[in-house]
Amino acid sequence: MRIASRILAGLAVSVLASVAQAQQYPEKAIRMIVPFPPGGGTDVVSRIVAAKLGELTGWTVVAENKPGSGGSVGLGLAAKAKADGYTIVMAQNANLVINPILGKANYDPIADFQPIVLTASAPQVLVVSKTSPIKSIKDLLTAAKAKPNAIKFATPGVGTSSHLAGELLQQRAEVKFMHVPYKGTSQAIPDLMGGRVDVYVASVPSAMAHIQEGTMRPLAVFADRRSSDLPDVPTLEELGIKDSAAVTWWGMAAPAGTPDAIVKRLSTEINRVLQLPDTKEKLKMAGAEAIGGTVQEFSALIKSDVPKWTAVIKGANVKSDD
Amino acid sequence: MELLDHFALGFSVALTFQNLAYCVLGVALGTLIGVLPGVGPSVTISMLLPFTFGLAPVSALIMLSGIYYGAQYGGSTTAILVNLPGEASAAITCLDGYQMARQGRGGKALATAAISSFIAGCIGTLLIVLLGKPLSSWAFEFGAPDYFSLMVMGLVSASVLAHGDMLKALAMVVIGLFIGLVGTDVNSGFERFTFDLPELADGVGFTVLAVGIFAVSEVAINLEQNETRSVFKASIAGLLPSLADLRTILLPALRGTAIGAFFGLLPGTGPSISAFSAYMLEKKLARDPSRFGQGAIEGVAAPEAANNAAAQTQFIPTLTLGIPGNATMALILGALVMNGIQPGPTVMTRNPEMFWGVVASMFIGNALLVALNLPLVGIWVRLLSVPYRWLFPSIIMFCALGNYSVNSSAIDVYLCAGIGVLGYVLAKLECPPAPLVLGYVLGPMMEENLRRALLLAQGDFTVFFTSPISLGFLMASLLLLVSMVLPTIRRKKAQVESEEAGAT
Repeated sequence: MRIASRILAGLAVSVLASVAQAQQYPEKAIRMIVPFPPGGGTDVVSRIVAAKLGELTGWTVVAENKPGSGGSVGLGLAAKAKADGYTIVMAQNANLVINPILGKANYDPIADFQPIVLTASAPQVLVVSKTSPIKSIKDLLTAAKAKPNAIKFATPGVGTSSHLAGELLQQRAEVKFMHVPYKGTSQAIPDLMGGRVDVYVASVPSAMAHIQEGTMRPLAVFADRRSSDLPDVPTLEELGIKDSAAVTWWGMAAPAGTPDAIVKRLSTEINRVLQLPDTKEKLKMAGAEAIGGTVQEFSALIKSDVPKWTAVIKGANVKSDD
Repeated sequence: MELLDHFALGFSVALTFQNLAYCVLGVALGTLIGVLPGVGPSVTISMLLPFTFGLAPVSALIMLSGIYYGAQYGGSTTAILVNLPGEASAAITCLDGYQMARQGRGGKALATAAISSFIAGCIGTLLIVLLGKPLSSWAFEFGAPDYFSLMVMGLVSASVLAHGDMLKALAMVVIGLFIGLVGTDVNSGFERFTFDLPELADGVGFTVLAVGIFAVSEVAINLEQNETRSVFKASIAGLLPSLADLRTILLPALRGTAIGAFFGLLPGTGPSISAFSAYMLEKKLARDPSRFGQGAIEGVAAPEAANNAAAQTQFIPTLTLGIPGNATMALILGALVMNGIQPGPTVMTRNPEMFWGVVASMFIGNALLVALNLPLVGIWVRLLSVPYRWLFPSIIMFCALGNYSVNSSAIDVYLCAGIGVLGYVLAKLECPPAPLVLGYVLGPMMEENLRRALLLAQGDFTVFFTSPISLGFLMASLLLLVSMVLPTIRRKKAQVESEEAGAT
């Protein structure tokens, strides 16, 4: 009896303590790790969220750039940080999910992180040059089937979202392109325009200018639904290629073990931020769409992305270090 | 006379009080960060980016571009005075600029840098006006084989960088190539020489290498000497170049401008390679190449003109094609897009006030930079009279600060210190640092383009001869090689003959 009441009392105290902890949270500045250098897409998305979160709640949210190794450096730091709710990280599918599969990260996407909320996403689009004889996805697949390894597929690097989207298409449509990796986009786009390579997968905002000028022709988007920027461009799904979505997403995460109450609080507040018209507008200008949702939804997305991309990477025989 | 109308429109935009103020702010900030090593335009622009959202797009772009080309002016200051390149592209200015300063001609070197930069800046801007549109699509003609052959020409002409021991220069190029190999291989995605450090996956940064090999090692070498700098203190008089000096630097500055303008148009190359190429050309053309590395005024004028011209013409592919040539240009492009302007071939007709306003502001900005920098020369030179015990710790502090600021990575600071030790050892062995830096810059680009050219051609080596651009570069390299080898052979032959004559 006595022992039981003690246990109960102890439980009550610990529950109260955790509630109190969440109510007092945050007592100091929250560090938001941005795993890319200032000025890039991830940085802009992070800073918009950090600034709005600060405005809305009165908290101090400090965005800290920790770039390197395609985001693995920043995420590695976040995974090892103290799980007290004062370190959060703006993860992206490329660094949270893909880098560990490629053996380019020393963390596990599921065991080492506590998802908070899916923040934003951006679709990718398959483009060809305006002078290309390829006018549609059908043309592309017919040509690729007729002569395997003849279609030259340029990417901004091995293992990038663009490369993996292309691999996904090749596996779903059962064709084979020749992969031509570049170091970023600055030389890949001139080669596409000059006709030295045939296709390229770009994020919608980065290709918009060329599409509007008519120098690039969009053939399809890698998403479940059409992009609001390119309403006339079909999705691969519509063209009969199943399970072919490959969006870039950004999501807020914390080190695994961060108290549930704090995770819930952060998720609620960031969701409120994402509802603001001003946030939506700002993210749209940066080429991303505000998403939001529950902790469970984001967690489920990560858990389904890991096997999906593991299969694609295995099938494509993308080399990794170990 | 359409052009005059455009200029009238441009200046009417650029000369409004507000835009003039942003131009002044931009170039002043640019000069300042150019002077600080490592703290480059990309860091500064990314920090200021959020503040520009509230501005009119044209004002934002005027300020951001001012920072960019302003930094190219400022970068040479510390390179000349204390052998510390403030910007990556100023590394080559260290070679002769610092020697000039040691000889008490620091003021002259600084003024030469400012004047050459001004000439190049104005011509570069004029090129944007005249050739922006026709030249922009030219980048499309350049494929992987052409880039490769261009790099071959670069490496062949690099042999003129060597003064003295050819073998040592070659060894330095190879060490540079190895340092350039560190990082993720573009073709396979494998990491090379990274020792499982994720911080090394993107390679050794140019700032880390240049600051380590030039500045840190220089401090170490100077520590061996006693605190007497008679040559340094001797004379800071004659700050401004004489008329004869001006005549000497005019042609090198013009040649540097041409080289810089060319490289600026090609995505992925830019100011650093231009500065190298311009320097090598001057040394090749000089009547007495041995003066280079000993304080030749042309060795300051040509690379300074080249990096500035490249900085200007890089705006051509960025604005008219939406293809940024480097990281800083990508940021400027991002700023444009976020301000609702889509860069592209029709940007001149769709946003004429923006395009011509920015171009006009570049003329104003370049003039402002000279007005700002020439009077500063006197102040900068006084820096040299600061005692070493104050100067050295500050240099090392700025090196550490600058290196940390690029990636917020402590590894970069340690690496820079390590490279400083390497630089010290190499200096003791009398190995020249310039070929090392060149190998580091050209090697990885050469490998990347060689492999891509062969991949696209399915292993067919003739691709380097069937592309006319590539063939042209290879022929030029061959001529260069012959012109270098022939005199040596002739001399040797003469030597042998005279020896034979002596023997009989």
